[in-house]
Amino acid sequence: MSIKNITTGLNSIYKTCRFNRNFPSILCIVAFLAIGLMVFGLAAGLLQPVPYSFPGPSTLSISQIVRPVTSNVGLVMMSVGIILFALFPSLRVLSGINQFRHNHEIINLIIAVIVLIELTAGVLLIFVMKGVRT
Amino acid sequence: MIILELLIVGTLIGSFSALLGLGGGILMVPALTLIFHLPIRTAVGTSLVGIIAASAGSAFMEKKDREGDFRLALRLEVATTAGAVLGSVLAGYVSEKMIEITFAFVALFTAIYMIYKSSRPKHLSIPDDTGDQNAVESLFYQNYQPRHWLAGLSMASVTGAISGLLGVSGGFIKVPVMYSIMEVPLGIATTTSSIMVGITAAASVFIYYMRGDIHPLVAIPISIGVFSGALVGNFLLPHARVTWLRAGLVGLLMLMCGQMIMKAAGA
Repeated sequence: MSIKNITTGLNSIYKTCRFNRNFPSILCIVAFLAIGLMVFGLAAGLLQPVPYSFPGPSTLSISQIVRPVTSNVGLVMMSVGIILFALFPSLRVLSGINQFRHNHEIINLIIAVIVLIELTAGVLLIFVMKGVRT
Repeated sequence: MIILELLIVGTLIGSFSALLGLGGGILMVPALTLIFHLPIRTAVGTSLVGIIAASAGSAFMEKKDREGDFRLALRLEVATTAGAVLGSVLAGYVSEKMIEITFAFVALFTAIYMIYKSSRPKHLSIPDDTGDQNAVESLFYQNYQPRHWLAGLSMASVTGAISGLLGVSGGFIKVPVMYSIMEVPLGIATTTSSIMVGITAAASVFIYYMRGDIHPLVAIPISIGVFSGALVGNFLLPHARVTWLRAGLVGLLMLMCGQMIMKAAGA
């Protein structure tokens, strides 16, 4: 078996095993949940007795969401909605990992895991950076 | 009401993006800094949320015979994501003036790219929904093998850094790199780019979030507007005079470039 034959074979496998474009239900649920939280949170924020001045407060930090010190439900909902929405691409990569695991595509699985690790590393890096709120 | 203005601006940006194949960040950041007078880091953070919205919208609306190559996207994202994390970390240490000047030059580069794109032969552009099956097949043919991975990955990391620093999607770099250097069919390069921009933005957005650079009252109306505008733009695409829109966008980008430089210079 020559190298050319191996390459041709790998190439044909690459072409035929396309990623299944049907989104898992979880991605749709997360996307609509995030949008719902953002929209309702925005409405709650706009309807509060003391209106925000533009551009309004920044999003709450993780510790402020977990242990809320504010009774501003709207801001909590908006912050959680934005976090969920920002997680959507990561969930898409996770969905890919599941698909590759199901199809036994080891190399693609490893690549997807590397991308997910990089996405996670970006989040963890903030705890060692200056000027961030935790 | 300012929320309504943000919604309208977001819708216009989303429509332009869908009609002209841009990610929207190149319009969002200057709009937020020049029209709404937001600090550039806030504008960049907001833009990243908007890019995720646009990418999610594109993903749900993608047609069966015009899918992107998810495997190729992930391979390139190994480099792009690393660059994006670096760019967004760097944004916290670089002065706002430097970011504004860098953005001005990227806007100029985008304008030049749009001029170059309009001078290409028509059959090399993504077809609209005119039912031209031959065009679709030629732009989305499956028998390709990506080449020149080193060059592609190098440019992908640069694109990621630009995206993390400036809040642009980087599609105006990714698509030519995939098409011209890596020999990926143009249609697949474009749809693959739309997959990548969301993942790239996600790499940076949490860093801006934790720095307090995302304001929900700005980010949410803009994102809703961009998502809605993308739907409108896709609907208008078969009827739009894209050439005129492209010319208008080139002029707008040149104007924004000048305005950003003047703002950075303190004028």
